[in-house]
Amino acid sequence: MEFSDLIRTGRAQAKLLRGPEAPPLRGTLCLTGHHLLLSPGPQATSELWLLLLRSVDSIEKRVASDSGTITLRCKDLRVLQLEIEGVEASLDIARSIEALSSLESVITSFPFFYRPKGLRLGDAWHFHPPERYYKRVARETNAWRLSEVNEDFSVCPSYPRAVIVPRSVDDGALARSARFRQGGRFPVLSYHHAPSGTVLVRSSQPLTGPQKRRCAEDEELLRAVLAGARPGARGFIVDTRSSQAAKQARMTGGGTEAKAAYPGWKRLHRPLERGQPLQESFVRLVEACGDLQQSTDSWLRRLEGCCWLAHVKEALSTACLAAQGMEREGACILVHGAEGTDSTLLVTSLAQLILDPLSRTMAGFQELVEREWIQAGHPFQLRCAHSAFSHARPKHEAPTFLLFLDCVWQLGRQFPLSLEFGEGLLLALFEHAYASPFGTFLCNSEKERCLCEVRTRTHSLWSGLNQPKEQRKLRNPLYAPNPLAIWPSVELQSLRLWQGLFLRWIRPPEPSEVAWEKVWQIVTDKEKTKLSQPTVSASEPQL
Amino acid sequence: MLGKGVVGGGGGTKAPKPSFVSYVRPEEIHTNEKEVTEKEVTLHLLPGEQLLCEASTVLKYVQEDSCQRGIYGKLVCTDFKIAFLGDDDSALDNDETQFKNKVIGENDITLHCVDQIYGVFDEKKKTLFGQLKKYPEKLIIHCKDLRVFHFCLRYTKEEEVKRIVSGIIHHTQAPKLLKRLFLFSYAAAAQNHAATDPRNHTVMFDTLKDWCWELERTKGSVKYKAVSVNEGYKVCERLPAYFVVPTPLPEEELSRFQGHGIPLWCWSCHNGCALLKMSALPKKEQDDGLSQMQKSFLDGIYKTIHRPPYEIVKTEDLSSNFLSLQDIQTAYSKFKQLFLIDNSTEFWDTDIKWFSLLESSSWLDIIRRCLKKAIEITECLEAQNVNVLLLEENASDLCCLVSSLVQVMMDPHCRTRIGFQSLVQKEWIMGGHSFLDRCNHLRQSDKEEVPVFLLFLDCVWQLVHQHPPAFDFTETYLTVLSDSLYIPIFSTFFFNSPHQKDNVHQRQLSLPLTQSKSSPKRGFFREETDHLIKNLLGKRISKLINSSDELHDNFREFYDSWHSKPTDYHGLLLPHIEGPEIKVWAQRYLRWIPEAQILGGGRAATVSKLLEMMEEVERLQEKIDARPHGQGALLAEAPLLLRGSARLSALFPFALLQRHPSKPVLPTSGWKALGDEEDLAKREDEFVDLGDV
Repeated sequence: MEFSDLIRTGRAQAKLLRGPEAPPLRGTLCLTGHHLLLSPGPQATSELWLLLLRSVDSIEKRVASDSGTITLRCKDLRVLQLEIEGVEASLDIARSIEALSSLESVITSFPFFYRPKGLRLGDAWHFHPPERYYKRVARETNAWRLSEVNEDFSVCPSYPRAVIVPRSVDDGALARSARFRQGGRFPVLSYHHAPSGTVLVRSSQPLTGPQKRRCAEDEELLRAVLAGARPGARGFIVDTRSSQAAKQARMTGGGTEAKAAYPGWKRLHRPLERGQPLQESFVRLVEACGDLQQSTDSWLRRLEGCCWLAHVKEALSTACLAAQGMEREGACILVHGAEGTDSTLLVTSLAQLILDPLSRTMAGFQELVEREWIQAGHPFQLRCAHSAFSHARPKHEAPTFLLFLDCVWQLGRQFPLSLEFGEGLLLALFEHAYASPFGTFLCNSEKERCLCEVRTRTHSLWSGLNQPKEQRKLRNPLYAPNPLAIWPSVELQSLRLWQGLFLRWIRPPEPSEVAWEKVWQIVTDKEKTKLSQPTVSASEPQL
Repeated sequence: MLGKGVVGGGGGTKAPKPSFVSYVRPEEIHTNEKEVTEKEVTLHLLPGEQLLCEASTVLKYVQEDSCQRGIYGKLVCTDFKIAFLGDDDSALDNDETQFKNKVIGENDITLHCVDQIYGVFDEKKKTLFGQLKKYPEKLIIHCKDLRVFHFCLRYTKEEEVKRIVSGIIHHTQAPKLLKRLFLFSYAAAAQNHAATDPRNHTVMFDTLKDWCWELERTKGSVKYKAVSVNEGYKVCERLPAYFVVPTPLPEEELSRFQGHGIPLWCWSCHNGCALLKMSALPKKEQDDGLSQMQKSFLDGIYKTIHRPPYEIVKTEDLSSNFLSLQDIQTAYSKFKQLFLIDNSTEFWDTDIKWFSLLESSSWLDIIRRCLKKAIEITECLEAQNVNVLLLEENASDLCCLVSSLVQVMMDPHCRTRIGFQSLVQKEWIMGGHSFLDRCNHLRQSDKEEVPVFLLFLDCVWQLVHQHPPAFDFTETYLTVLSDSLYIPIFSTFFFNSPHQKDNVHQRQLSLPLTQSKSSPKRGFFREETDHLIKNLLGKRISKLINSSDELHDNFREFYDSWHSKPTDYHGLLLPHIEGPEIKVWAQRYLRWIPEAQILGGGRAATVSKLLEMMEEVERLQEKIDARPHGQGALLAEAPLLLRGSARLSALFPFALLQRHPSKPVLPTSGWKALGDEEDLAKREDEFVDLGDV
């Protein structure tokens, strides 16, 4: 199929309205296979305006006698208006945008064509494989090994090729344990907490079913997890479903670990919202934010009604529970829900952020996202197919990753010095997860990424973000390494709406951003003065 | 927390092994350790302060890590405060408390700060007042600064329980006489007042000179004059001795209705427009002659101020088109309940419904309406070049609030510390806001208690929070100011009017038994004035109502256009008033709730880090300037103000309730974990070392 088949009118005169803040833009509108361009004409001072079609979430058209208006609602929550000359042209363009923005083929998507200057293909793709994390674990403990049992993705299609497992369990047992877990997601190491010697392990639900089946290898694997920590160690299974939901899952073949079969493990249920209700919560929140101009009256009630902050609270408190179990109780933690690809990852990644100072650095956080979300098999393509504006009936969409980013933002707000990255990085990850010129968030698993040759044919987001010119927007100028765990206050009183994201395009930038600019200035001043002092600059760590 | 409690209280006894169960009744831990903890702690008394009664072996509950522990000590009641003298007070003298309040300790409650007292009888909580037949086993004190204290009296001698409980109830709840305020005993005992630094001089507005100076500063002297007609309060006890009125107003007019119906100048805008306020004429019995007189008097006044050079004057009637004091009182009493939390369970129960509870209190909505009103008036003055006359029954509640808000927004001088204090002095103290009644300091009428001044501070806080660089002071200043309303050492907030204050001083504290009621405030019944105003100003008000659509458009345009431009912190300052922008003043309201604390985080961390960095930049800069070619040796660390921000709570400098680095996380019984204290302490020290490198 050629893109040109979908483009009937590729060019028209148009006026672009970008919200109350930015001035309108006039010029020639061009439609390409991947982009919408507006060229303001030769005499204009402003530069070319460009929109990735993939980032259009919904489109609305209205026609008058000799022109048409198209409203584009984007996945990053921007709302744009195009006034196009000519009724026919505007209808054509609207139809083409609709068709091009919803193409499902991965290999014809823009990342496969994007070739920016200054970046080389394949640069950052070997940046964060599990092997790299294993090196760190191996320095801390001898109880774990790197297994390549999933070399050809046959044991578990959503795991990467290599996973970290207890040393005492062989590959055969792993394969049998995988058959006892939904989607083959047998328990693997997520994080080793060196100070307490405990581990965080994740998996999917066991397939106990109505007959209460058991699997010796799976039981052995979890026994080995405890034995690897220290003799007599205990463990907690944090199930992200309610105990009732877990019981019900038995009817469809799933279930949860029986107490008798797993000595030393205790089950805790912490129900987290997932799937469609989470998506609806997101949609309602965005709606409420969009209505701000009209009414300010019942804002708090609407905020409560959409439950988003309640989900943030639940996610953070479950992560705290897991982290607390490791740090304070010296217990090992296994996290799973049903598939083990959504709320499970939310909990394991947040727990690491709370406990592990390294994951709060720029590089460490990127590694965390790569290891615990992308390689761990969060189905980005399904979950992020549509954002909050789509009229299409949601099927697999769910803003789990956005919920993770919001939780990280709350952590960053509560501990303004402890994260090396700032809001900028979180916003960039949100945008790129939904629509990106980079290949990092493409596909649903490592297996699919291999089939599409994503690694060799697209650029990695990390190499894009780690260019020096991008860094300033992404870093936290106040960062000071903090070797302690950061325990957030998870009460609704302490949580805030992430205005930088949800109200980003609706209201002018906060005055605090101006203050932020000033902070940058002070920090840069400090560095300058330090550099002019040779004795001091030598000991100054690179920022 | 179990381990911690014993370490703190026992001083040297071996801490039991941390266990998984942490909901332990404190008495179970402590009863067998009494002998260890008995240690005399001396009570610190202010000059003139007298001990009234005391009780020993009282157990104070401490909420910590979502579980309770107890500290034994002595509960005392003086004529100034209720104080708990804990046996582990020595632990407080570390560097963390370097910013503690010098007058009020962590366990001190001034008598005026007590809001409600409850007793627990057989697990049931009851409000305590008057004479008691039965004495409670537990005393719960809710404070006006939102602290909650729990004192267990189970181990106290019965005699002492009776004495302390009835003493506390009597001294905090029973109606008091003005002359019995601690203020006077303190003033008599502490003779030498610190000389005020002339550079930090707050204008008191108690002399003609001060008013003239303010007129000069705002260039209002062309159209307005300061008058001394009320010297010695001859005309009116409600007004200050000196005030400012339109120049053409004949002085004899001023005394006609005891200062009612007189347009008083508040402030002049750079374009010459002025903000004025007027108290409505008192409504008499149906006496046509009199109301006729009033009408012609008012018409005369209006003619005067409608003539050039005053051009147009717009009347803004705050007692009929705006909030009522009743609204404010109801909202705040609902709102404060959200923070007066007795225990964690209660906290987590309300937490689920936090947003809807917050909304149904409508406190934030009241703040929004005040800010909106102030913006509307600012728009009239700034954009339409119209004078604004605020009208209220006594011109001493919402008038003070709105006119001072307008000045904070329009006059950058009011955003400096001195300027702000002068503003409070001008609009609130000299403006005759009845602090004594509104704070219910004398416990004479709960009905009169309305937190109007707190509402003002909360509105200012919204501005400070939204535009921190525009202010010379921080939210901590506002919080401390709000606390000082209940500390009867400073006389500022303890009188109903300047007349009352001066009178007390003149008669050398010997007041007559019945307090002279200069202006009988008839509460919140706006009907009384409503009728009159509508009659007298009918025409003007209907004009105002008709133009409300137009008004709304003007407002919107003014508001939007200001917010679309970059902010000039030294010019006009408007707040955002959309739903998400009006926030809860966490430092004031949430500061005592352990669950809401963030250790080593929050704004306090940012601020201390910034201070540190600015100091370092300056120091390095000086070093470079001093020795341009020098081979400068490594710098010695200068003493920094706030070292080790990882130790600070986000609610610094208030959150002293909890001062160890382990953070409570979850309300999961059976999961209330205990960390290895030693280990944590060690790690924390490591961190501090790291910070010093």
